[in-house]
Amino acid sequence: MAMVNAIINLLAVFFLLVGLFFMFVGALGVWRMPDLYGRLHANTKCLTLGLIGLLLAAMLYLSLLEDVPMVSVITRGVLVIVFQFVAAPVGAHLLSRGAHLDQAPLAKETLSDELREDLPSNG
Amino acid sequence: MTALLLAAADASAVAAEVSSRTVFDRMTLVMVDIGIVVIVAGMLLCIARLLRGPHLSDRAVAVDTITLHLVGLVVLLTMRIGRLVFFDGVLALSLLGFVSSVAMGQYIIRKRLKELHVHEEIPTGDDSPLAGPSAEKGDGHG
Repeated sequence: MAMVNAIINLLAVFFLLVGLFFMFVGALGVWRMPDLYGRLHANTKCLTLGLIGLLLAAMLYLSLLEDVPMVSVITRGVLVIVFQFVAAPVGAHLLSRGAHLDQAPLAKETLSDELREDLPSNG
Repeated sequence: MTALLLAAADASAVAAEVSSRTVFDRMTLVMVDIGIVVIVAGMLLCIARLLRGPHLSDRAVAVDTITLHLVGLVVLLTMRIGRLVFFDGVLALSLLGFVSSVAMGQYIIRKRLKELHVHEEIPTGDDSPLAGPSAEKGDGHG
């Protein structure tokens, strides 16, 4: 039993470190990226890998405790992960489409904007 | 006196709970404490982007990332206190982040279309400014 405890705790710490790394890298990308689209990219890293790492760590660690029902922990964790995977592309796509329509400033390193070339003249 | 007894009983219960944890449990909790600091540092970076962001959508992305960090913070808080009372807030906060992101995107699109004097509903046909490249028209470039 102590062995299982140690293994699950080490796994939880591993997933916690992975999640924290991607969370911080995502926040750093939101601050440092030169462009809206780069910032959305960093935001998505933070969302998928970071949040899934943290939730896996929480599911592993909380299922060790006796006074916490394991089923409700795992159900909610899996529900949040599935919901984020479904909802994140919708929000990011809508936001980037609106920003492109509103002519958000592009980075200086941008080589071409093919969507702008393909659109009919909007006004 | 009763309050003192209750406090003593509470303290002994807390001590028993702590001593029943193994050294690995304590290691995980120390990592959770470090993680709270890391997530708050990330939130400060996002707040800086929120204050600075040149475009409205930059601010929307910053708010979305702050909401994600808040979800992570609630997960860490649940691990720290070892009870599930805050774990429903994770689901509610992720739903709130999605809804706010969609609302900001719709607001930016509608504002732009209003500037373009398109007063009807958001058009989705081939001749709308929102439409992508269409195969059968092809009049922009051959």
